[in-house]
Amino acid sequence: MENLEELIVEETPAVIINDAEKEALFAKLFLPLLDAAYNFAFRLTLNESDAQDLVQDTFLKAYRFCNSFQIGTNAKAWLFRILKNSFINEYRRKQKNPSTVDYQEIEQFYNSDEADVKMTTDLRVEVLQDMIGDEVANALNSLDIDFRTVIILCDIEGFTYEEMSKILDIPIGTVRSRLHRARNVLKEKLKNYAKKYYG
Amino acid sequence: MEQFTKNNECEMCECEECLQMLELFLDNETTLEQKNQVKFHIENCEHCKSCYEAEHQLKNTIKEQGSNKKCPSEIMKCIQNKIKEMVFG
Ligand SMILES: [Zn+2]
Repeated sequence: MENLEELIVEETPAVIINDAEKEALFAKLFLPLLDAAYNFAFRLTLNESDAQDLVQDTFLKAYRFCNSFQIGTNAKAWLFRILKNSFINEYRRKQKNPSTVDYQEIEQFYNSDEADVKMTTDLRVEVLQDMIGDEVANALNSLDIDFRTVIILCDIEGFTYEEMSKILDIPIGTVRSRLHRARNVLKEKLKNYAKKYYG
Repeated sequence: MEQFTKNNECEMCECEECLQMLELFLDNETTLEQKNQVKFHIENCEHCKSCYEAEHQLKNTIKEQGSNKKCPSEIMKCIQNKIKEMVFG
């Protein structure tokens, strides 16, 4: 809730609109984003029923605070920020941490600064082409939530670093380095997977 | 021999620079100048080209495998009903 109030102070509206206008604005700008928002909610909660609740909460908040949305700015980024904040405030604490113990070391390594310099590029295109099932999605789901979030926003939803910085309330430099680390951990997981199943 | 070493080092520098920009390039976050630099290099370097292809493939696979969740249709109805309640209730 705090986060929403902050959002409103930041983007105080110039115009007061009536209920009919509000409904029209909401139907035009936000309802078409329902599938994208649901996909994001599912990727965060990893659970259909939580995702349904989260997406409903998000849309009701979006409707209630519609007045504070500045027309002409990015509706999807605005909506996703509400979704992400709702997730942190209401859902995250009841989630069990999905990142498994055996990858903890890798994540710690990639959280250190030395890892920033190098780039893991020895994952081969042929190996990835063989992963036609859910291997990549499963590896993504097993990432730490902060790592998972940046990959979803960038690679699935196509947000720019600047938009991500606004959605996540972090500087652009942090977006960039977090994304880099997240991808390295993901690649490490896929490489281990490939070694195990394709030899 | 000295000449050879020099050239080799230089190529390595170029590769390193290219690989460092690869992520930004794929995310469409480079300047136009950097974009052209990466494009030119991967057209002329097999190693960096294969790195680019793997990263590109990974990005596409993430999108393919990670965007298949559709919202159940009753959720739309629920949202619309709750809004009606808010307006008229
Ligand atoms: Zn090269």
